[in-house]
Amino acid sequence: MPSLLSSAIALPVRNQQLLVLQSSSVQSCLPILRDVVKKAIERARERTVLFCLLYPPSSFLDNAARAQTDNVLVVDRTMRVPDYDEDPDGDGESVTSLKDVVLDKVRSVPTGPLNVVIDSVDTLLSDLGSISEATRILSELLTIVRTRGSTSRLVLHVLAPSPILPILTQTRLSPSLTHVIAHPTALLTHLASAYLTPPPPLSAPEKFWGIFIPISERHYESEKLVFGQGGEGGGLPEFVAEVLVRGGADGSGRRRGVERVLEGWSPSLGGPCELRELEDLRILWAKKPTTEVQDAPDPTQNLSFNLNLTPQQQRARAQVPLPYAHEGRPVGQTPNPAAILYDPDSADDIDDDDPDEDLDI
Amino acid sequence: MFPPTNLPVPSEVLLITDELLAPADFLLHRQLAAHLKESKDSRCVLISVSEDLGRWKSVAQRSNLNLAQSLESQLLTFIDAMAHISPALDEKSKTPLKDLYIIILECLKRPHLDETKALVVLDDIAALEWMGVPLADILRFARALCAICRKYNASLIIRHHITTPGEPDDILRHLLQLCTYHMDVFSLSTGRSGSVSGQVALHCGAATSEPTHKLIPRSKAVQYRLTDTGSVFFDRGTGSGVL
Repeated sequence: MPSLLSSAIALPVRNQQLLVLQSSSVQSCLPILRDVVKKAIERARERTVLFCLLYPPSSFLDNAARAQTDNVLVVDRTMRVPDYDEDPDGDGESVTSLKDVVLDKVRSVPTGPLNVVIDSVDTLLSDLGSISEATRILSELLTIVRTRGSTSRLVLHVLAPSPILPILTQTRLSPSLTHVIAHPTALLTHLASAYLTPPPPLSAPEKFWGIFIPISERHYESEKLVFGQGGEGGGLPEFVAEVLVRGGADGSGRRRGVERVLEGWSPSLGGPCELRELEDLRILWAKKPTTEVQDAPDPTQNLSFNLNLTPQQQRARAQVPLPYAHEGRPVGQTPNPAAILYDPDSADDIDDDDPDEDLDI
Repeated sequence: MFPPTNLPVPSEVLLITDELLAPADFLLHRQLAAHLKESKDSRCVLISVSEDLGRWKSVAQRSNLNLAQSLESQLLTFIDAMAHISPALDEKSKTPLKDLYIIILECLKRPHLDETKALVVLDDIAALEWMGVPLADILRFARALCAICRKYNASLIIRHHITTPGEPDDILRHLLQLCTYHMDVFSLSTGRSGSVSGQVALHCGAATSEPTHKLIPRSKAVQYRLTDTGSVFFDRGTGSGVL
């Protein structure tokens, strides 16, 4: 089965024009973003605009790659931090200038397929200071990208939790969406051990997703698994990618609903891979050796003395009178049959009548 | 061999986090000493929020480093952060950290030989939040500081105190995105010990594509013991050979 993740990264599917990559503090999705940018640059006919708001451009492409290709435009805004701009133009200027810069740069790209990549939408939101402004900009960008052709794409990277995330995933912004969420492998091993629910196909998908989705949305659970006692501390190279594809069309042109799969990412295997190929998850797939039911060790074996009896000894033992009082024979009839004897005292009001006899049922 | 040399290289950001039971002062002093001893022209900008200069001087004395001399020759600049932040906090200005940022920028802009490496140490960023600086301002200050260190080719070390192990706060979440490497100093899970003072792990930051140093997860963390002259590092289980 072709990997959804690799197909989402490598070649944008028709009508899938919004790709949202979601990282969290425990697991970053930036390796996938890096791969998306790299593959976009390799497609010579397409142009890419990369907005670097938080992460330096060197995180996505090295200088050699930048120098070689001319179909990528890198807009480095990491120095332009609001209130800390070196050449301040005034307080309100920085807000409008960011919006204008973003839209002007995108509009200035010559016609043809276009990829717009924003490295940190939550930084865009905090710089603009308003969710509605940020949503407006993103809608405009999406409109521009749609007019550029079916292989154009808007790629957004978000650090969860962020107030802009629910807006990005709503159908109002874009009916078709590819949403990739990075999870640490510790989450799946925790579900397998604490909830006895390993990932599909080892367990039923409905059961797994019913447990996985609520836990994965509670960020503090993953944080505790990774940063707490017994956690590895984050920054691991291999991770699990949850890929959600909504709308759009698959290869044969049929409309598909919503597909959600879990795939793996491993730099040593070149990127997208299956879950079972991840080092940390191999133990989930390892067949447990069948253990025979072990009998408790028999203490009567291998002794230095003889516990058995000879037939004469058995006969002699059977003739010993047992010191029981009744020797198993039933005792004669007791004089009084079982009864409850009760003497009422002065505070009792014993009435021999039936209290329920006046009921007329 | 821990800690690795060449950490951080110019334009990289090293985040050092510690806990109450395992403070990372020794790592900061070690990094400062290593940087100043490396070459006679290496510059350092030391921004201290809560500690004063006397402590740095006395600890540096133990590793035969004369900070007074470096201060005089302007190779070491000591910035007392509170002197620049308190007036702004009293005035309730919008960006209390702006003055501090400008001072740091001036220090970095000072003309110097191209080959010399500059090191900026911020000790520590958690205290800024405890003093009452708004979170949004601290995050923007951190972003701006990382950006100017990258621009002026200086290496940056930021120390952050973790008060709730296992539950990262907002500052830590953002610093993890900004840093190139994260050195995690934490205490033994079994409590205090006489022979082992704590453990150190090394992780890479979110944006680091190919780490040049060997990463150390927490399960294989290197243990250390503080001595009079500094610190001794050893792998788990090899303590008897070293101590």
